[in-house]
Amino acid sequence: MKHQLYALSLLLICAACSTPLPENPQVSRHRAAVFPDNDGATLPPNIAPINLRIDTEGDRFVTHCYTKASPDGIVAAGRETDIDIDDWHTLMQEARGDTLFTDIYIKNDGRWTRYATITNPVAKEEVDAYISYRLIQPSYVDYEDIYICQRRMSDFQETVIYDNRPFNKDATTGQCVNCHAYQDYNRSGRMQMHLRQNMGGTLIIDGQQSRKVNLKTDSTLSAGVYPAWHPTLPLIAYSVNSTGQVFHTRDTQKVEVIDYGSDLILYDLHTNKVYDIDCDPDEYETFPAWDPAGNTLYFCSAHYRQQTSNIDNELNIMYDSLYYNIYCRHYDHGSKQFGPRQTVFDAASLGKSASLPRISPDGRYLLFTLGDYGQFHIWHHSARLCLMPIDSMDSCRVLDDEHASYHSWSSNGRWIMFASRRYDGNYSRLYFAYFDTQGHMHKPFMLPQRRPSYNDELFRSYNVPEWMVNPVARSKKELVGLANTEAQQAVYAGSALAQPMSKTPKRQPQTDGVSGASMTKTNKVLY
Amino acid sequence: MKRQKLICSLLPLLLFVLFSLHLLLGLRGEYLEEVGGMTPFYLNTTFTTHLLGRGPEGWLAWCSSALGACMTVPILGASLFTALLCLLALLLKQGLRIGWPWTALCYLPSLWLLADFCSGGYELYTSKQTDSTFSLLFALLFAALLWVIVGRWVWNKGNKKSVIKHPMGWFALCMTVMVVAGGYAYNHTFKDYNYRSILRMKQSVEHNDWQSVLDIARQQKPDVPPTRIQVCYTRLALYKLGLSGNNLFYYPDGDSNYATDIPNQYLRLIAGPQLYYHLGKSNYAYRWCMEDLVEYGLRPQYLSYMLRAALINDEQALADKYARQLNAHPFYHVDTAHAFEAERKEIEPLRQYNNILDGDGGHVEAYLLQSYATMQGGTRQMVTLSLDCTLILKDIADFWPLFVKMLPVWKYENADRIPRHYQEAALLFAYLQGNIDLSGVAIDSDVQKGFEALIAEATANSQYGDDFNARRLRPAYGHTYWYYYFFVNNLKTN
Repeated sequence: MKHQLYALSLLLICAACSTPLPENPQVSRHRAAVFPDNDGATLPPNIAPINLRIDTEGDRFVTHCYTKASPDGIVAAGRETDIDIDDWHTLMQEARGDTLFTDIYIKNDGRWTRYATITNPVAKEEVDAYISYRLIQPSYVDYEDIYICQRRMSDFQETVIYDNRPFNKDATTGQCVNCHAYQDYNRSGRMQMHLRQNMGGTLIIDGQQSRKVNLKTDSTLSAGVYPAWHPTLPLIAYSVNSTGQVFHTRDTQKVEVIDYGSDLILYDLHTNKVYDIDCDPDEYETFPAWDPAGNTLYFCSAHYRQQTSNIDNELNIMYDSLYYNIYCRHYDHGSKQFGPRQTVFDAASLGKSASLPRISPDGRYLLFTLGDYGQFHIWHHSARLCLMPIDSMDSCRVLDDEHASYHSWSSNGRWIMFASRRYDGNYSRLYFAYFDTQGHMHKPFMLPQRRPSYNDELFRSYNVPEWMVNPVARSKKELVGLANTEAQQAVYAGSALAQPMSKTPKRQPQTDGVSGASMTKTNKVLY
Repeated sequence: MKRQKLICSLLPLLLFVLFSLHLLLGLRGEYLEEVGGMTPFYLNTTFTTHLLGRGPEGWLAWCSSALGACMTVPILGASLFTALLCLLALLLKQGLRIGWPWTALCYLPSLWLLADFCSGGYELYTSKQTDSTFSLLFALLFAALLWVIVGRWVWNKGNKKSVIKHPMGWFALCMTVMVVAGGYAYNHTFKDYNYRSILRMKQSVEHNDWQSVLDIARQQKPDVPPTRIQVCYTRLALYKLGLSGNNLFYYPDGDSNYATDIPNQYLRLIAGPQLYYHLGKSNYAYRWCMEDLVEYGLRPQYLSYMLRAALINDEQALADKYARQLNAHPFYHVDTAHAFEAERKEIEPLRQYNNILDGDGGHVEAYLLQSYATMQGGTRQMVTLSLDCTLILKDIADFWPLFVKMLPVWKYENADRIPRHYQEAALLFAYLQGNIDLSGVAIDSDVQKGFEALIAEATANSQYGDDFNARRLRPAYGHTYWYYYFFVNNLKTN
């Protein structure tokens, strides 16, 4: 009885403290300015609370989230909401397959106003439990602390998978970390990531086994760059690239990332062997991606025949007429060889350039970004998310009329995650869009944060977002330990093509990969 | 005796305060302001939680960043720093239960910290932590405070007062030690003449006070050649005031080494964003701020130029992001709707060039000179700047087309009066090339006579070396383009 009294008292206190809804407010037909603007976006039922910041001026603020089934819903006070996670999930389960409503109340001059209701359809299908991404400042040549993080989608828990700080002791020992990738949404526990410069190599986690590999051989252009795990086999297709950066003097895109040469290779984890896939000197192949069955390898390639002895200078001038198409090659599991190259999407014929092909888990759609030129669309304002049905390859359509770059399908194929600089033009944020069974992408919403202003105050970009069904099981300490080991040298083993092309020596990088951006500290004679 | 005690306790304090304020405001005032601009401190949740999330070290970092930020207003920063140093001395006196004759000794750690701070110079731009002295100060303050509190608790009982023999003798001795330590702090203070000029110029540029930049350049000591930063700032001010055609070679030129042992691209680090921004290369201003922000942290100075670059590039959302962050700084306030309007209007005519891909390699001065000297046409402002750059680079081929383009402008705007240096260059280049007809060009008679006299003197003394001729001709021709062309050579940038 005593305990019940205590509990009752506690409940009464809580009730007294909870925010009441303003009574008799004025009703405005206008929407309150809120950040992020997720009005109309379809939400997954298992997403973390969609907190928002009210940017319309006022003295006091109340936010009311509710559903038809639960009209009382959640009431939160303050300019920035911090909705209780359990309450939110209870509400979202009620809203699954229905609609979530959000009313904003703002008090000005002693009078409350209720603004137009924000509505969010709630899908039946969930998003994958985890995502991972790299947090990096959007600089050009310099880099410092880089984090690869994983985030639980149902709340705000973010943990660091790997950070390079132990390797950044001074200016000469910096380490870059990039291209984290998982096999089959990390169901198999296989992942890889690249380390560059100090203690460089590729970390490969294969279940309980792990190793660090040097994928650069004398016969290939570079170490592995953009990875694509085969969905079931211990194989990773990579592009190998000779990449440079050159700066725009005027254009607000600011930097152009150009491949002065690129090929495709295949790495066999079990034999530690590297095979050529595509190494045509007049083709700039990049961004490999397997189909969900692992029978076809998709990739991008631009055709360009070198005119002079200096490809850097040529492409620094011709950069905006370099168009990448999407191609594929069939992979034969028996012979372990690739068939002939087939055109999937001829972007060049449209005067456009495609990159980052991704096949939906049901194998029905090809998702890619289409820009005006080049392949590094993260810097290109023209880049748009495009979709093409695999069985009707002549009908490509733009999914979203805003800047987008790196994208990824959720494991159930119902959600598309992509990085975009649409919010401020420079710092990538993550967006999630529902993809319905009719092949339509719904309005995307921004990755929710405990404090919405975090997106404003964070001076880092979300980079290479990937879905994961399971979190990365290896600890940061284990990965740092692995990074500290010497890399095992991969062995070049010829071509993986059924009809190998003649191996023409390809241009080796002439610079440190950063054209026009040397950091020489020596003085320069002026006159 | 009581009065004597009071005086003896207050005298070191008074001396220390005066000495500290003299050092900080008198000798290092510009540096204080620079420290303020280079210290990240923002009163928003993300910044605060990021710092405080580091534990006790984070608290120290927060306090030291706050003090660093106060240096943006030097008198406030200097007063606070001095007050905290005095507090440290008083806490030490209390904590260590030091008698009044030895009070002066309590100021030794404070003097050491003051000396350490005042010794700062170029490393401000290459150090990831700008406020290590402040961190140490706060660590000592917290430790001393703890000591005092614990001391009061533990030692309060049984406090015996001992009789001090020869108190004034001890006092005099301790004061002598304090004065010696003060001398050390004074000697240790970084008093590089050029560095101070650089900072004064930089702060004048920040306020668009171009005349002040020229005044500082004019006051340059004759026996101290300027650094490239000073030369670049001077040229920028001349351009801004429309004086470059007449005075570009009037001010001291030089490539003095920066007074530091750490090699780096100081021109880029200190002046790069300002020079790029004011000379119409906003992408490069932005680029280097971004690179340095990654390397050295979210310094307000970088954000300020990223904001300006975003505004001039019409990247409003990005500008708003930087403005929001700057507005979270206690001493910065930006209204993006009206910020930097006047300077943007001045800069815009310099931005009418086509976009190309290139790179500067961090060589700001060389890049600016080359890119403008080789620019073909543009607005009147661009052509003027291009013409200046061809003169500086002694680039005869690119000079003529620009000179010819400007002739009708001078005729229309300047009553046919061609700025003096362009006349000098035209005469010289025509003479050197031999096949240029200047009969239609309005050359002033004194310029013509001066040039003829120079040729005559040079011919008469051709058997002597350049050094001899440079010395001999300097009084009469030191401020002419001719002198610059022949005798100012091998200057290095960065």
